[in-house]
Amino acid sequence: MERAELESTLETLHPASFGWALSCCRRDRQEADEVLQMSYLKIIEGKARFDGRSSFKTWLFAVIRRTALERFRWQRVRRIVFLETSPPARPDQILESSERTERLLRALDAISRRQREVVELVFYHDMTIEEAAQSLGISIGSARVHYERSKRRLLAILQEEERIAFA
Amino acid sequence: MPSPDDLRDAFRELRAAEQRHVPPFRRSMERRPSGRRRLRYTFAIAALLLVVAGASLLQRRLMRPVVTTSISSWKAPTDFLLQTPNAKLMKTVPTFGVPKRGTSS
Repeated sequence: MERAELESTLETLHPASFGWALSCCRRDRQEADEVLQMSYLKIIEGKARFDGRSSFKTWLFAVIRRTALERFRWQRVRRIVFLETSPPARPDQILESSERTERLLRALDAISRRQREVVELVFYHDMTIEEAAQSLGISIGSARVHYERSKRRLLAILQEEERIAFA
Repeated sequence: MPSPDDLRDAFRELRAAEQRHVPPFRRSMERRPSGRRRLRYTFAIAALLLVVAGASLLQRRLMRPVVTTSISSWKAPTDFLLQTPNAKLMKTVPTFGVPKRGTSS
């Protein structure tokens, strides 16, 4: 892929990529921005190469996820080595968020990382379970199990929240 | 009770809210992440410190006077463990019925 073509594809996918980076960084906007920049650099400098085995979006999402994980691991090591205290979480402040969005974010916080990733790829990014599995580097069977469990769990949490809200 | 369709709608709403504040693509492409640069500096400083520490250790080892001992005069530091009480008894042959020198009868 030529650089111009690569940049143009990245630009088209930029909003979706930012959404995925937010998800990988637990809605921390600043972290998501950094992770996205690092991912783009990896791609532009050729450290991550698209081999055409999946769709470009699936591959790009895998790069973003891996970059976020590497960054978190490095931060954890740095905290241990330099005895730094854990920084306070800076979740994304969505000014125009509705009650339903806030409830959804709380429910997403209550499920495991893998379940959250699968369900977000399917519902937020309109991917198929197969594409989600490719992005996460897991088998389709495993992705399907995570998808079913997370959907059930999210619905149960949302139902409980609704019950409390209307009680 | 919420249905899977409600879930899909909630995600759609979340996406719409988040995508209203996406940072511009050009900024993401052009600004080099500061963390990365800091990481490089940290590694460079750590490598430099390692080299300096290694060099000083090597120099100290080279400057230390070499003490040579001839093999015939060398004594094992654990030699004393072999010196048991009454070790002399093990080196002499006991005799029976022979009067000791200096004694009568």
